[in-house]
Amino acid sequence: MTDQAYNYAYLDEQTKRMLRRSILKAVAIPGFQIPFASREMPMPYGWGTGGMQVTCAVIGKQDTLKVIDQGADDTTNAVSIRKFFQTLAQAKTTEVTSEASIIQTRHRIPESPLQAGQILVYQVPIPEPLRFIEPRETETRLMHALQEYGVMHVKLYEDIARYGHIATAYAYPVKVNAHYIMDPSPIPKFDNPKMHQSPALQLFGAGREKRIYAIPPYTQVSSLDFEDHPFEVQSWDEPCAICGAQDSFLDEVVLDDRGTRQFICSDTDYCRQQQEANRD
Amino acid sequence: MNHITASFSDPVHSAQQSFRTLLTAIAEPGTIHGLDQGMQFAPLGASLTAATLTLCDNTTSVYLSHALNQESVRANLVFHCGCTLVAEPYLADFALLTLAEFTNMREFKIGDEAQPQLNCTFFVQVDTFGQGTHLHLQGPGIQTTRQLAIAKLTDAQVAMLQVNHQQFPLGYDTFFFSKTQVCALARSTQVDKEAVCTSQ
Repeated sequence: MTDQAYNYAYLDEQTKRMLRRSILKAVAIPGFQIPFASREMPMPYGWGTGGMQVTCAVIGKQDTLKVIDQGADDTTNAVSIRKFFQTLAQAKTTEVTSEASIIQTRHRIPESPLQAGQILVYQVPIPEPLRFIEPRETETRLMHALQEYGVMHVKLYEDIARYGHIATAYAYPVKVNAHYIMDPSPIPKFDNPKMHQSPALQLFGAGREKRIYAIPPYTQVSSLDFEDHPFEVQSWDEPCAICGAQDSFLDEVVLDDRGTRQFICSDTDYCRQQQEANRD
Repeated sequence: MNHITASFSDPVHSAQQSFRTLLTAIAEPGTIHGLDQGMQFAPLGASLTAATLTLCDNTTSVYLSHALNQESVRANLVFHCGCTLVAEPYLADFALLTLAEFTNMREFKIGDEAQPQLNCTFFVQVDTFGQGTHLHLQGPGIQTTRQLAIAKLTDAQVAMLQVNHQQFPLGYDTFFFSKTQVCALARSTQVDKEAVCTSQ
């Protein structure tokens, strides 16, 4: 029924052309937010409508799609979006990072290194890194035009003055290609170094805020910091309780109401790989 | 109506495949990709025709250079894309030119610092790749350096591409099309005629 009721990949061709023109511009100006005519999608804003529209514009019959939400393939958001593309784009899907040609993600970059030719599509809630400092779009646009980014360092400095260290743990601002400051979407800062010189193409879609931006492969992406307070990523005292990995991002899981807790890999595919490696 | 020829045989998937080729081309500037959907609006080659059908529609203005401004092209673009053909360069979202006519980018709109995306995109039809001066490319999408040669690209055109890069984030993005291949230079791509030492 649905294959006759909807165009391939849900969106009409006119909308896809508009998205495609925006994506090409975004790739040509790394880190700059391109306004686009975001469409209403069959799910609420905030659930990844921007990332979904980007995937709709990009995906084809030859693609294999992986969808993750906080690193997991089996959470509600990931399962729903994966089914959406199975139904409306007859997409082949996978949970294995290395098998995917397109990976749509909410809030994580996979632990397995990405490869050349892969496309990582981020779902972005607030694309403007300066928004919490300056609420007016007219002003933030001007600030990007003038590269007036001192205030961003002031915000990080205020962290240091108050807590003794930079307390920003996710959506940690980055500078792309030594020009624009960009919000990497709410990925943990643990993932920021993976964006730098990544062989994969990274596309960002914000549906409610109507912005698309991109990082081409092999592009310089640096996390903002200070000489005496260099950028650092999170670390944990214990390995993953399931697979024993010591190099992956861990989620805290509360086990009972007496304070027992466990730390496990947020990337379910990576955790599975480690378990299989341990078994062999 | 005699000039109307067939468009994509499979509009949805041909457009998607063509777009992915263009996306890879601009994401990895200087790489050459095959693009041929088995049809063309002569004198536009198959690759240039596919790119135009993929990206142009009734919301975009297209400029045709003197050599490409022929009834067969005009009729097909208006019929299949529904795009507005403009005679004034500064109104164009896309400019279709032959390499010999690719001489003055500044006639075309460039946007401004707050909206650098409002530039015109160039579609330049060339004879072939792999011949002529070897250009050395650096920038986003290029791991170290990459070489590109476009037949009959003049020194003046290389200089124009260098000036284009220097005004980043303003500037123009250029797709070069041979008959069945495409290659792109983004505004972020640094173009040199000599190999540049990258060690720091």
